[in-house]
Amino acid sequence: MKRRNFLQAAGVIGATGSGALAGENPPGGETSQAPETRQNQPGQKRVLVTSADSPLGQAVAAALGGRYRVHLTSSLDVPTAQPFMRSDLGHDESTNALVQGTDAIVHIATPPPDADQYGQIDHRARCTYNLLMAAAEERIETVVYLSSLEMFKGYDEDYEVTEDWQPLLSSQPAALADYLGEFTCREFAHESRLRVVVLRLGTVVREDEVQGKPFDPLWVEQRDVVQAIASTLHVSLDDTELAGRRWTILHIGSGSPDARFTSQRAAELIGYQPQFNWE
Amino acid sequence: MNVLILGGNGYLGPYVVKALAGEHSLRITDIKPSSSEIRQEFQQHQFMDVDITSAPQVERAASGMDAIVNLSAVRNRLAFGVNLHGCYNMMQAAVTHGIQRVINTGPHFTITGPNYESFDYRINPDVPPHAGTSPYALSKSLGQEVCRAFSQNHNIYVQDYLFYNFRLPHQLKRGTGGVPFIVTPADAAEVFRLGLAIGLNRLPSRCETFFILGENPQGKFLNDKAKRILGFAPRDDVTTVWRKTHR
Repeated sequence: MKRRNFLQAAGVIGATGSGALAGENPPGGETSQAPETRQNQPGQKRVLVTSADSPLGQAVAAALGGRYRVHLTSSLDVPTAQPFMRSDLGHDESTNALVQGTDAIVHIATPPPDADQYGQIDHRARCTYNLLMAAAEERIETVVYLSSLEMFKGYDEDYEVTEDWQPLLSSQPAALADYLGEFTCREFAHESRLRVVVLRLGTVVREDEVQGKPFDPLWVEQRDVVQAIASTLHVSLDDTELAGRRWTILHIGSGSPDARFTSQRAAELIGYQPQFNWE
Repeated sequence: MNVLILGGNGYLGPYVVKALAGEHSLRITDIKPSSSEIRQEFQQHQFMDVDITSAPQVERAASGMDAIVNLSAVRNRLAFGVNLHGCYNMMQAAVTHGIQRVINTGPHFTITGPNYESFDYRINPDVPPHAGTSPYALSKSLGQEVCRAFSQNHNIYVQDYLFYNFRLPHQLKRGTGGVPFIVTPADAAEVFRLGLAIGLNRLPSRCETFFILGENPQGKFLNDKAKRILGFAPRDDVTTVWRKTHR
């Protein structure tokens, strides 16, 4: 109930569980929440969101803005009303400065649009390393890393694949990069330097974009992803449930009974309630 | 066999070249040109300047080769470029040229990082990788994961040789002690000869990791897999360093 109240207050789910979602607001635009809930309050925790140039980054920033002091970063300049600092996430003091005073980082880790094979791997591996090293040095509490469920597609569809299963490695740069990013995060968590929550996402889509297309069991609606991120932060920062866990992986899919992977653990640990099932 | 050596001008490179030169045709490459003495000594082999972070250079160097040996390593801020992307370039080149045999190298941290040090004994190379967060160890570990990914998706066999401490024979003195993971460079080089000779069908899988060390009376780290599969038989007795001085 506590989580549900939070999710409703944050506009992530409606009172009936299917209402307007903060994440559906246009990037940088106004939300449907009352203006006063959008203003930063004293004592609010500070959350850094990376890849602020990406559609998901912008949706996350809009949704979290009411509850947290949200700061954004990207390797590209982004017009936004929220505090923004451009960063290539290099191995230098500017990355430390970027994360200083932050309570949590949502590392979306979308490679720049023009990234080649090298750039995709570099962004997920080296840049994630630099960001997490800075976060560890600056004693950041929590990092939420967004990864992909693609690395489990190779399993027989009849299996109930959960978070404990071994990823099936691909040599394709994008999928390999996702895996290397997770690998990097795991090392920081297992050295007890950070609390890391990995959200493995299905194929992130917008409902309006896929309307009329044949259902893909890997689809997850962007607003459900935003909900999962908001819930993770809530449970990590404002609740005690994840406090003892240094390393958590959660699968985030749709609410469809035909979804390729179960999100049961996310439901149990963070109260994830996907709103889109394409039925 | 035509063998491409990447990073052939580092610490281990000259020893490996010496061990392989009599049996194979070598293409010895490094970002740092080999000395004129080395070029003179191994003049029947090819030398080439190659930056492993450059995919086109690695691909060109791999043309016509039957095997690749990667001895490159960087510990500074360029670690991810050489240790991670270098492996990616190497494996991509292996795919392009149909090269089935790859030998990669790294420090023992690639698999068994600092947290494993608290285990007392029987640490072996087939445990879950946990490199820790030093840029050298982690970037090497990521590079090895790249090798593993390619071996699982292409017909490429990767052997990963992990080292820790090198000692020259004259340094193997009683009472000097040291980490229980020591090998002489000559013994280390010998394992590459074995790794090029072994039939690929004798490897248990397409990606195998080996600890390469001399005898280790403590049993903290194990070299038995290298002995059992590759036939590794270190000649230099490194156990001397743990013997008492008064005898």
